[in-house]
Amino acid sequence: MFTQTPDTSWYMIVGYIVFITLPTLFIVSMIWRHRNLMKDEEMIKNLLEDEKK
Amino acid sequence: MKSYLQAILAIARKDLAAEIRSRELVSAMLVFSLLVVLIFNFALDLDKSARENVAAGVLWVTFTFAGTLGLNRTFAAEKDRGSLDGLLLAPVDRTAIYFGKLISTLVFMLLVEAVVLPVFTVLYGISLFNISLFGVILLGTFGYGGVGTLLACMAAQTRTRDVMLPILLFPVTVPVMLGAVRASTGILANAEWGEILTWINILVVYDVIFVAVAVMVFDYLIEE
Amino acid sequence: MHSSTPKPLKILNIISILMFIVSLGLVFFYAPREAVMGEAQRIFYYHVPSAWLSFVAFGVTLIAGIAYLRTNDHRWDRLGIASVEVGIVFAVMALLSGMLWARPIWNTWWTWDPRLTTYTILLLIYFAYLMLRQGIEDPDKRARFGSVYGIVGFISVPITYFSIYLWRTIHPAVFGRNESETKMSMEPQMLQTFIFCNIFFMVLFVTLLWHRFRLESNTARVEELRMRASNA
Repeated sequence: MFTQTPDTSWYMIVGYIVFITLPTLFIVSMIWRHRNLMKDEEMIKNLLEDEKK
Repeated sequence: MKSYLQAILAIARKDLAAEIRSRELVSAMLVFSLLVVLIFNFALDLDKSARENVAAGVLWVTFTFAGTLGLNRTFAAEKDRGSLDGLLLAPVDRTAIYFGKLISTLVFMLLVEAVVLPVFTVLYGISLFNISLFGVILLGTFGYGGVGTLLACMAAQTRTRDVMLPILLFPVTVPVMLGAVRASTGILANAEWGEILTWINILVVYDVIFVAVAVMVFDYLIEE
Repeated sequence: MHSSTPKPLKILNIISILMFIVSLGLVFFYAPREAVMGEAQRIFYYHVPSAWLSFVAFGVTLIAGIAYLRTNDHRWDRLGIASVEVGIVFAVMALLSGMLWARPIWNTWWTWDPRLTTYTILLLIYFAYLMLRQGIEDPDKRARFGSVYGIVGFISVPITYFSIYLWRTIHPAVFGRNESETKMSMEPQMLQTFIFCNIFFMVLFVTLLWHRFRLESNTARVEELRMRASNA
């Protein structure tokens, strides 16, 4: 008995958009947090330097 | 061993005595429970048979919410008054604090439940005076209180305090809810015992596992 | 000065990216179209590893929690929080993709079957974990409490699953259908794709976990610096 395979491509595409977006967002958030951290570290180091003078 | 038990009772007695004096907590829990029962009455417009189906569920939701109130107060008061430090100075195993708090919480919850049951019977027209039901309520309250006491100790020490406890507690006590409601429904509907016993087993297993875990882990929550 | 990315991690980065590209190729071009479900079935290749690895992640947090309580070494706590974050990312991916896969097949976005329900509760537990940590200032307390909740949370999951499973066996829900009812015809190319994607996700998991762990270590270091600066 022949049944037509339904066209479910839309679901696949959205699915893979999810698969790619979520880890990307996570990586971006890590990079962003890292940048902020390095900025803070610079600032604190400068503060400590100034205090020594 | 004797001093351990004495410590537990002393801690429980302290909380109970404080409550007898002020009667704040139990009255708050009581009023809140009755309000919840009332709200459910308006929220779920039920005919007689539907009411019988959901009675156990409504009952346990009521106990859960009221229990949260009780649990929050158990540790919050401690932190505010700094009396926890006094407890910590005592040369007794820290888990005595856990059991002491657990006992007082259980007493409060059971008291409230004892009042809610007859009220519920009247309002819902279903007889809740059943020994097996009492047993299930005891088991469920014990499991809920057991985990609740542990988590309340943590929640009390966070910034968000009262709000934190339900967030921590509810996802983890799903088996208690399910087991208690299913067993209660079975008992009220006079279902066959095999099924009810299965749920009671789940409650027992849960209670044992989590009180054991709580005892192993409680020390780490009160280091200063 | 923070240490630069260690060599093994740099290699892992490259392997991850390469495997990612290859996996996409396999999923979209090598694996044949499944007869019953159509294109949506391709979600399966990423969905399954995402789901089981999220479990692994939370298991890592369980072990890290126990290890921290016993050793008081903060590195375990950093591993714990890192693993929870990665676990949540994987879990959300698995949940959303699962819904998208289910919809064309069972014509519903959601069923309250035991696995799905327990999985949602699992996610809620770890959101609670994050909120708990955010509400605590003292790093020692944060680590201790996180460890405790990580342990309590993980242990509750099997019991929760079992009780919901029991419930649904005794009282099957009228709506929603059992996953095992749906058959999927598996051909060799599909199996190969599936295995490759699982390996890719394992590599991805370790890579992300390691990066997140390093971020946490750096954060702790800068915190310490901050303490020193405010005390000076």
